[in-house]
Amino acid sequence: MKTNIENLISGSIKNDEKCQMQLYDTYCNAMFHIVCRYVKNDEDAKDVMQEGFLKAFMNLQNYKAKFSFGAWLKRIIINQSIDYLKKRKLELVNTEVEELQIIDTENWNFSTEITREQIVENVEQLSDKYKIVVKLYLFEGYDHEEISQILDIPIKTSRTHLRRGRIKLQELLKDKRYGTGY
Amino acid sequence: MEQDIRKLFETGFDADKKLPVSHRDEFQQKLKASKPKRKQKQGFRNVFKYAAAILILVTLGYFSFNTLTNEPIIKESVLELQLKEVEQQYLENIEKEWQNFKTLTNDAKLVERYEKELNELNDDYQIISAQFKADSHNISIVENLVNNLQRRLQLLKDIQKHIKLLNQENGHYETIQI
Amino acid sequence: MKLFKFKTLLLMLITSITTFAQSELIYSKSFDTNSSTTAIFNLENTTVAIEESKDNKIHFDYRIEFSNYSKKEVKSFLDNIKVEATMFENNITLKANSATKVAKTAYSLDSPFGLTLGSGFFKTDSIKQKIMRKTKDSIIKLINNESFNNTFLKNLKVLDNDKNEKPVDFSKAKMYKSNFVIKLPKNVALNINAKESQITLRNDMTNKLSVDLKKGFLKAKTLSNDYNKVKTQNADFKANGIVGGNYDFINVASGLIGSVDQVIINSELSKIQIGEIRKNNLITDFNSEYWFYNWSSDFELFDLYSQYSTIHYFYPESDYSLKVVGNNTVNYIGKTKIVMQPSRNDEKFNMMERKVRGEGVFAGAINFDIVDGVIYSYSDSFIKNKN
Repeated sequence: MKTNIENLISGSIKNDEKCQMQLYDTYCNAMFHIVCRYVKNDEDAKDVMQEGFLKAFMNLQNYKAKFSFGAWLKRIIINQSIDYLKKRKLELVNTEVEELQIIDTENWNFSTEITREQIVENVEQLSDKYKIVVKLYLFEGYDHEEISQILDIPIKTSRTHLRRGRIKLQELLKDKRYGTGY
Repeated sequence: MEQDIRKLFETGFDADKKLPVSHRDEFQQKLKASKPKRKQKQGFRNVFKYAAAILILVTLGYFSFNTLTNEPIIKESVLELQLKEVEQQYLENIEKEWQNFKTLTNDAKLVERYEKELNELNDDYQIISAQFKADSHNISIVENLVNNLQRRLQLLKDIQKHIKLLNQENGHYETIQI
Repeated sequence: MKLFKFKTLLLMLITSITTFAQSELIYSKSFDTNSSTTAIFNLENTTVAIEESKDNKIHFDYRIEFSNYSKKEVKSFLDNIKVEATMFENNITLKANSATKVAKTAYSLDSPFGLTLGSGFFKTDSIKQKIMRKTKDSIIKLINNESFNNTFLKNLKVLDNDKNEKPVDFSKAKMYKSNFVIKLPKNVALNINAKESQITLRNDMTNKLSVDLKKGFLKAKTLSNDYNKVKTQNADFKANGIVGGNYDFINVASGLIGSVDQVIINSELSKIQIGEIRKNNLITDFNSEYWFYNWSSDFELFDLYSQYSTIHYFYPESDYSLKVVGNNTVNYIGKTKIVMQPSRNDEKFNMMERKVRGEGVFAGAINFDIVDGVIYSYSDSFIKNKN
């Protein structure tokens, strides 16, 4: 028995505009919010999101039912956002990633007083190359393998940037704590 | 007291952003505009020189300068069939590359320029095809047909390579920020 | 590799071969000219060479030599060709066209048991050549080499009734060689409208030229006239040098120019190699590939405005200044890649600059205004021509 989404997908593959628009309606808000995490200008974010949908529709035949459609679509939307960033921002590929082993305890513990909004705010303060990795890891829940595919960087770089980003984030939030209140 | 902040983001979070009112209509327009003219077909495993060579060789077989030769021209239809097949594969490949190109770039003017060029080359191609129908023994016409197809394909491949060079990060190079 | 069998065969080549049985005069005419005479050539499917005339007359001379053709075949061939030159009020108009393409040389072979191409034919030479600085002279050499594709001929073999391969006997083959020469005095302004034609300008020319060529090729020595206007589209362009004038290149797949001097070039979708850049040139380009191999020691000013172009840029020998302005461009220098990202509103900004060093002769200023471009810079030192 096919679910509603599956029906919409089959219809969309056949280029049925009604099905495509229904898929769009179902996911556009969520996808828009995701793009907004990366693209600051709202107008651009909308364009990026819509371009992402168009790309998704063009590649629907590659969608395998074993993934959730939302996750598959999100991946395409994220790629589109990254492409946008690559074109708009200065890129830095730091090739001097240290060779030493990263003994990382993956300590993501922060004070409970810190709110989600504060974290989001401070992630924006990170430098570009760390920021993007932190966002993909923390906000989107991708692992290093996925991040390395999305950004086309080595897994080691992804780990290093995440670690440095996290450390910087901790510093920023520590300062903020002392800066407010008291 | 501490918390693992990863948990904070597990359920996702929404910014206060709202899409503009016209977004749905806008998207519908874009959707209509993006519908491809032809369905994509399978790619063509190509060895250009080989295909062109086959074409020319096959033509050579049935070829004489004018129609007044001692031997009747045999198997004309075989030649035409073979030509058609190669043409078909090239055209499929060109269409595939054209779709790839369109998804690769956001520059509407660039796409427009290429569309114009490809249309012109296609118009040319129709003329050459008509010439071929009138005189199927002329190797220079066959060469023109093949050159036209090759040129179109090469144009599309070159521009995609160019765009990728512009967009991509290349691991072999040190990148300096300007 | 596959064996291809053929009954009859025709090859179009540009080679010369020995004896000719029948020589046919297609057209011969001459006109007196003076310094205000203008000439217009309308050509289609024609191969023509233009030389300098020293006797103030324009001469049209069109001959074809046939070998092993029957009278009937010759007549049928000639019926296809139409040539006529007329003069009216000091304007000479030539119309030359042909229903089927007339190449310089063509063969027609008969082989009852078939023809084949040997295995050598299918070798694809895919060695990627390292891009090196070419000298102006080597570009000129390339232009003047009658480089024709005779891989066919080399590998072509006749089959006998036992399927053995035998060499082709060209003396028995039907063949024609066309020779259409126009002698033009120096002071006659020339206008060429041509389609599918092969035009060779055999001498340096100072005539005022206006050329519009679609398909085919234009090959020249040096063309010098500030009022030259040359447009080649879907055709090849090769010149030892161009001085002054406006040149439009659209879809010129393999352009070769020995040197450019005071020219304005507009190009699209072409690939053009330039041996030497001299004084005051301007190139406006969309999506072409250019090679700028050398710079004269007094090139003064060079401007390039381009979008989606690929530029192979070899450093000038003398002192110079370089300014690169633009947007979204990548520059590869040896092992380094400099990425110059687009600015928010597609504005152009200062990407790179090389200031004058003040050492030795100052050759000139180079300005690149490049959007969506790929630049390859070659910082080699000048490699001497191995002659």
